[in-house]
Amino acid sequence: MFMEHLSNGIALGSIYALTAIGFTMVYGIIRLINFAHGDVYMIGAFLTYTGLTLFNMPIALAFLFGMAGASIFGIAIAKFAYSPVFKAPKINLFLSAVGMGIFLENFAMLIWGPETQSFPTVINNKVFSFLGIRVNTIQLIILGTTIVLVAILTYIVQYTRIGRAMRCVSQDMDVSRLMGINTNKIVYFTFGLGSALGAAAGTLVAIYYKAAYPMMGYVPGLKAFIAAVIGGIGSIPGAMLGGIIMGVSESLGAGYISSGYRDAIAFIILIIILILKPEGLLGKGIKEKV
Amino acid sequence: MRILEAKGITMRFGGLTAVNNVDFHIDKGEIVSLIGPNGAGKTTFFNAITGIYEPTAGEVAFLGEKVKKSKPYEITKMGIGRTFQNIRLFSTMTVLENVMVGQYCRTSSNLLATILKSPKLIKEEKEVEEKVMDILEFLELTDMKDEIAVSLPYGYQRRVEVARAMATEPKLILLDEPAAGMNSGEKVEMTNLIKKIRDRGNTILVIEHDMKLVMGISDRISVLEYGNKIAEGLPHEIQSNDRVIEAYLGKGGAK
Repeated sequence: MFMEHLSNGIALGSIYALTAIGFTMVYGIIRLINFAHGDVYMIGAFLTYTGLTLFNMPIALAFLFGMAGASIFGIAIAKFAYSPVFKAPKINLFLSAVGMGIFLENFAMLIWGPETQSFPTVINNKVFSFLGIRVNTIQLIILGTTIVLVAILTYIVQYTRIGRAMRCVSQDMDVSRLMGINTNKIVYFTFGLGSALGAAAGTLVAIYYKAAYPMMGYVPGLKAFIAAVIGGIGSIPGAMLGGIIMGVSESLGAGYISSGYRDAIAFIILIIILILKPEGLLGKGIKEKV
Repeated sequence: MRILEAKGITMRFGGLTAVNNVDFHIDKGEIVSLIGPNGAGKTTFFNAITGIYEPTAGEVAFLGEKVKKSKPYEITKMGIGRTFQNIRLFSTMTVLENVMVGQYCRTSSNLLATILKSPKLIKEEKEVEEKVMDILEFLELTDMKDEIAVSLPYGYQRRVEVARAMATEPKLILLDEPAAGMNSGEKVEMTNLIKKIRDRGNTILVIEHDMKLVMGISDRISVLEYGNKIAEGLPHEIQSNDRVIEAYLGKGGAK
């Protein structure tokens, strides 16, 4: 039983991690809690759905279509909803994000309808059992996809020139600008990348539960935000760690305590970690100089 | 060759005139200092002549071309590199990485090529590293290239900033209070360093409070007070200029 909950938790955690990375990257760059991120996750799932049903794409292509489409959404959101208020007080940016979330939910209802769409079965789900651990195909696919995407992301951030520029912008936007970095471009690139990862997570969930609906991003968006905070917001490894911790503890909690407490567990972990380590597990404390 | 020429620069913010009808120029290979008491408008003036602000009146030409209001990264690309009053290095990066950032605006920005690392890009990266190593060598930072930049002693952090500014391949280097917070030993080193950079063919504009440093390095000095240029000339002329002494020490100081 324990192993089953664990494998389920790791799959769930991978999805939280993918979503949380998008949150944490955007926060790292422009210090915005992007509350529309959960809805980009939903848009990603729906775009993949459209790719599969309307254009009859094979799943791998539809998956990439969903990611690419969502990153275009992400960039457009940054451009039209956020960049006009970049220079305004942070609260305006935040409100713009909340508004964008509401817009996207209604947009999805308009395009794909308010009811739950059943996601086509694209993967023949089999249960494997090795060394006493029971896992199914979809869980393996979720984990595998997450590992691949995180590896690509790490490569981009750590080993490419644009990744170096991203790290610069997240540390000090003014100086980056004065050192010749086109910071707007970096901001849009970050939104695109984060949205693509969010869309991947949304699609994986839609495949897992065989359903996509306009509000599907709301709760996972919140949970991913918590995962990002637990790991230390702004830190990409932190977001991954936070996601896995959340997924596993939720799954174990639901299994051993009661599934009704599922969502409460996430918040209990958040509270405990914020009391013990307010900057998050891998976050850096902000030193204030007087 | 004239690097930068500003004529009749005026900068008003609402009713406040921060810079009033100032002329300024700097030629290739010169070290020019801009001095003045706190709040004299030095930084505003600098921002106005580099295109960060649009001057209320007046015209600026950089390398013979009119300067328009532009984005900071475009200004860097145009050929103005700078350091900061309070050191602002990227704190999680090594010395080498920090300096490589300066090369960003001089390299290809093709997204796909950057991520997929095309052979052309790998070659370019290699050239970047060579150029950067050359600058590090010049500023005697080679030994510490892999250290985290902010873990270095203060004087060296300044040097890394200078190296980063040089990596943008500027036609004009601005040093904003390069000696701020330095002890006297470090100041002497800084003086020598600035001269050395100039001798390599660079043009340098220094904004500075420290008189000893300014007198030691400058070919020419401009003095601002309340947004007006009150004096301009060779170091020894400025040293004995009554208005300058008055601005710095108050009335009676000139006697």
